Amino acid sequence: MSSQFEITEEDKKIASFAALAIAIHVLESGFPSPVPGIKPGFANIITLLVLFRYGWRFAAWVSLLRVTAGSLLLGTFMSPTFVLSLAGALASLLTMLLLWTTVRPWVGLTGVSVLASVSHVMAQLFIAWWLFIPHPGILVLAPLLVTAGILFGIFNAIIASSIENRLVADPK
Amino acid sequence: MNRNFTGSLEIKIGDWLIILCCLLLIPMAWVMTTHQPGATTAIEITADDKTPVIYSVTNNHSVKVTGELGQSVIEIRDGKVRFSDSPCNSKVCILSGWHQHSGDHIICLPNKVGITLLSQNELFDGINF
Repeated sequence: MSSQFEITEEDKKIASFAALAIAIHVLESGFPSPVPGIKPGFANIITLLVLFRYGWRFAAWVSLLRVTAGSLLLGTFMSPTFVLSLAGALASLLTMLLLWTTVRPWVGLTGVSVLASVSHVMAQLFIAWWLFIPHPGILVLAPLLVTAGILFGIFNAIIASSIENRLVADPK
Repeated sequence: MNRNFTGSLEIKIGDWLIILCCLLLIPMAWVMTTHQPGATTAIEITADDKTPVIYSVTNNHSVKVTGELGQSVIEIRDGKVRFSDSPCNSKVCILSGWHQHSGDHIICLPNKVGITLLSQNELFDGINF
């Protein structure tokens, strides 16, 4: 069957990176978390790598595909979980776009990773407070979430750089 | 494609700035979320399954209520509320200290006295799906 759509090399790359991110996303959701809202966000490592290798448009595709397909696999599509996940992804993508277009020469993996993860948790917390739990009590989580965001942001940057090192050393 | 990126984890000046700003965000978020005025405007005291009575918190005073075991004294000062005396054994109600956030409850189970902190604009305390 001849396809109406041109499937480019780029599309294939996006799809394979997104598949990788989805797998990590689904695996990660199986692990329990000590505090609601705190999780390492390892799937974002893929987004980071893609951002630094192929640019922002590419990263946006991978991240949004991960959120959508990941939620379909987990059965949370259109549920509060999905809304929160999407809000976080959009916020961190927006942060990446801002950093990428304005201060690109002065930031590396670490900065992008940390700011993206902090904006991710802040957006999620705000949406959670605004839509689902409109009680000021939930905002008490903010300092805890920001701390976790910074720590996992740095951690993810380290992992991403070591993956990138191997990719550079042994390009497929 | 960006070939300048070698994968090394070089930390640039922007990275330090971002980490610093985010670290500053922690105490800021902490101050903003914990020091918000507890918008408690009144308290509702229920003693020994009797009809709840609502008291104002705008002036400092003490309220004495009689529960199942005896008399509990509830102190209201500067918009905050606490149990200052109770006939119960454990004194958990007294030890829990001052409360000021609307929606909070202070309860002395042995003496069957419950206090609910009320506010003008009641919000949902949670929505479940």
